[in-house]
Amino acid sequence: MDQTQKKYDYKAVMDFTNTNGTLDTTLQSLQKALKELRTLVEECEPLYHGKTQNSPVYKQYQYLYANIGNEKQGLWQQVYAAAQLQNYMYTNAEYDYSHDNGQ
Amino acid sequence: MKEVASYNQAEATAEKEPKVFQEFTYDNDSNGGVLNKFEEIKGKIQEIKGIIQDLGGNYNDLVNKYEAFTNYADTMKGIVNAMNQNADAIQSNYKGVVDTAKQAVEEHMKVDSSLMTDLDELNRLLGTGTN
Repeated sequence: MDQTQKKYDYKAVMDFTNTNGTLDTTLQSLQKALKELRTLVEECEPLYHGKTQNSPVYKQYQYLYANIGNEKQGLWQQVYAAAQLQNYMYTNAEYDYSHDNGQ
Repeated sequence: MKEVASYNQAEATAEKEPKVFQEFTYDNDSNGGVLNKFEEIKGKIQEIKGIIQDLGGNYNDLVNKYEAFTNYADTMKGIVNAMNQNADAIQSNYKGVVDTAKQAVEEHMKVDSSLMTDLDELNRLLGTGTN
């Protein structure tokens, strides 16, 4: 971690990046919407589907799920990256706050 | 590192694969049928795109207010750009599903014209209709 002391509003940044802060709330909303999207697609499948996995619609559903993704691909991979970044920014701000030498 | 971010690992890692069916089905029930579901999915994708914009706004707030955070700007931009690309791909795949339904309806209409309103609705969902 960078040892240079940076003067900025540490507490404001910590609040912004902390659990249930502004940034976290946005990320929670995104995850909720992604989960709801998966549920909607799962509900759609029994209503409309092709015959076997060779049907064109099966392929499209497959691509759709792949792009919704998981930690290694798709939109969920970026959600994971955003969560890691949030953790990193909070940790750095907390470190800077605790090591502020008052200059 | 402190783990403060809310992260739904269970959902992130949940199985996401289409089911395999042995017969074709197109359920166009006016109450809860596939056209209603297509509309819901379309709305949810739009919602997701809006939230990604909000996230970009959150990041901009940090970078604009605090010079110390300009170091994160490239990473933030990369995440938002990738999210937008994924959301666009999701939208394209959704349209792919709708398009296969449209093709199926068009094929069926060669022997039965009763699905004309479905065809109009599918074209509207694809953005190719005139209504």
